Amino acid sequence: MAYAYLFKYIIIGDTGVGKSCLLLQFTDKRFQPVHDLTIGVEFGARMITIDGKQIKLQIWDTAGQESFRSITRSYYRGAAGALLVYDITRRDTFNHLTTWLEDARQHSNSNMVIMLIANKSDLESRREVKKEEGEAFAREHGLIFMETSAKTASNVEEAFINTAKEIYEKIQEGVFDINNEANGIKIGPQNPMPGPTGPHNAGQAGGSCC
Amino acid sequence: MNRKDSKRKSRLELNCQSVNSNGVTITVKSRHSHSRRRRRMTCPSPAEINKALASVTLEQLGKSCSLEELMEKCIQSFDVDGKLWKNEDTIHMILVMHSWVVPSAEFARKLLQLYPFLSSAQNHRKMQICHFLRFWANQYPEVFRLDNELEELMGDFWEVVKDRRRSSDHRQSIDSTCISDQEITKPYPESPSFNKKRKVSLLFDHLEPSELADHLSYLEFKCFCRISHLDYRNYTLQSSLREIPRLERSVNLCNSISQWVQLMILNRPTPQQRAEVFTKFIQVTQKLRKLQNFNTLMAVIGGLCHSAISRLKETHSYLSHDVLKALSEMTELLSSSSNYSTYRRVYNECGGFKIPILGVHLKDLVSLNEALPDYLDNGKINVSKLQSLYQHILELRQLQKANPPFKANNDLILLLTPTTPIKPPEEIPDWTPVEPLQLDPDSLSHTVDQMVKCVFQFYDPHQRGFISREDFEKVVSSLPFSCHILEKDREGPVSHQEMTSYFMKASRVCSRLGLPFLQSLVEIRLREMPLCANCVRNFPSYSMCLLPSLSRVSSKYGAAYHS
Repeated sequence: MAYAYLFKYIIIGDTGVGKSCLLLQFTDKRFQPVHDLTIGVEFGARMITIDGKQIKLQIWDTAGQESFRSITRSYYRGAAGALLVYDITRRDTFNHLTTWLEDARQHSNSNMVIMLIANKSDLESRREVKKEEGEAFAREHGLIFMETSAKTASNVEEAFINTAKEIYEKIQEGVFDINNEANGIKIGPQNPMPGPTGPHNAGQAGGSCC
Repeated sequence: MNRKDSKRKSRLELNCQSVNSNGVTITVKSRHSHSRRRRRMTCPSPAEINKALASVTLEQLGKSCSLEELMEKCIQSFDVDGKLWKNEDTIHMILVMHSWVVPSAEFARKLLQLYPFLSSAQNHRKMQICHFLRFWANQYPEVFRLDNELEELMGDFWEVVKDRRRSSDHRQSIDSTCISDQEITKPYPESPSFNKKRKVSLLFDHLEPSELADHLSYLEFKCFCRISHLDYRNYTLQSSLREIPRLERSVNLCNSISQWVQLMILNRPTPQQRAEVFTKFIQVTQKLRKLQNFNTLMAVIGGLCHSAISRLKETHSYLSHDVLKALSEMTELLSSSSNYSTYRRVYNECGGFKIPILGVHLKDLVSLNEALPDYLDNGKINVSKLQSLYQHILELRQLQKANPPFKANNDLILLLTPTTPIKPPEEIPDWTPVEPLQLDPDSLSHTVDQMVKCVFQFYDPHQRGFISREDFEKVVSSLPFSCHILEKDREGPVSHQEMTSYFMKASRVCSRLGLPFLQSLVEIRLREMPLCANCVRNFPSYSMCLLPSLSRVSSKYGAAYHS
């Protein structure tokens, strides 16, 4: 399917915080359990619409590799957005955010949009990390914050889409160099005009009314 | 089936014949078997094996089965004489994979319920069940050893059977020191290349890249071989390394190598010297690539691409074109883009000995497990899920059986070996240094006390009785990388006692190098800290010995110190 942009995301955070669940919830289990070992198990692409434009989100999950630091770092290269996830029922996953953030900031491009996700909001009775703490951490480090539940799907769509919106806005502002794929953004095949998309272009493609 | 396919299948048969005792035999349709011996041996890749395996087994089992159906399948595959006459691959798959959905003890209990205790007839069936149980115990003794409930259950069962039949016929089996387990923990071939007369330098500068690559690979393969299918299961299901020491050790080795690579570069005072070390590591990666040791390759490249190194513009300016080219080729090879497609392609093309990037394959397991349900809508076990997972595990198991194309040098291994103390005594690897330097315990503890005192004087000027975790890590980072992993991911400040026990452990690791060696490293660490005015006031002597190179290291690793 044709798309105007492709954004590359990564999902990071401690083991067991629900990264894969979030992704599966968002991509609606659209994935190919590939038997061919040469391709691996791949899932995590979905089309969304922002401002009337089709945007393909390609999401890379680091689940299973969290403790291999040199491996997780290799994901940062060429990512436009990152979901940094912790589990509200496990304080240690919140405590480790700084390490993850440092790693992400050190190894990604400086424009990468990072969203802080407090997952498992359905487990209110076992909560160890208050919402306010998450918000404070996000404020302090300039992140967008959201509480989600991969189980009930609460806020999952919003988490991915808001990150995409933020990236999209940065493209509009010309912050991202979209000609450089190392930034995690690719222009779709039907969009031959590279460069920051001005309001003129947006109007054309999206057919917006005003 | 076209010709190519049939050829592939028959090659497959041959290969599987040859690895039969390792528990990966594949039974194939009988019309192929007559041609088995006539085929010339060509080695199929694990991918080919797995692909064929999947199709064969799935045909037989269907997409889903109840637990009872799975068991029945197993029982029916044995004849009265205990010969496994069909479905061997399926049986292995069931024995390895059932515990992903049902605990082994429960599996055994259900199985024992099928045993017709009360019936005096049905001897045939009784024999079949016994043979199956014996097969399980012989092929996978580690499962029994680690699961008390299961072991007890089986023990009771054999007792009953023995009593009833008054014959020891059925009872020759449960022997936890069986063949296949020893296969896994078999002693690694001792290093015959080690020429005792040759004086071996332990200095990084004196080691050839190929020597480094060989020895790192030796360690890597050791760690890799110890990981059992149960470890993969536990990791995937509990998604944490806790209580999986063998896997943890492998992960730690990887991370330590990465860190060590950075340290070796950052330890050099001038950009030119750093570029030399960088170049040497690139040569190491080229050798690792030749050895097909992708895991260590990832660790070293990970170290070289770390921002602590990649930000060193001047150092990079001293790198030759060839080195930069090699670096970019390696980065490309290991890139995570398109789900590691380049790596996966290259890896699958490699035959013979190879060490996979464990993380990539663990990720596959985690992804599969996450994405597919254990049970289908009909309430039956999702066999195709188990089969998919099994493919990955089987592939990793097969790789553990390869013969490594390198040999080790004991002294060097000592320098590089991570010797994490592991709880059960039988887990202490045979390559652990066996002859620690005979240190008189009193002088050892005295020296360690001194070191601890030194560290606390420096990092705990207000005598709070502990130092911060960051400071602790700074001290540790200056030790040989084998010491880095002695401490698990603990939290919070470090007390006198913890520091002491750490140094005691580290002194054991470095025993051959001697405690003074360790001591000097700690001293260097303390000296190298860029001191603030306050510290200089407290420790004027240290401010005299600032080493420019090392203070650069510590500005990377010690950034938190003054904050």
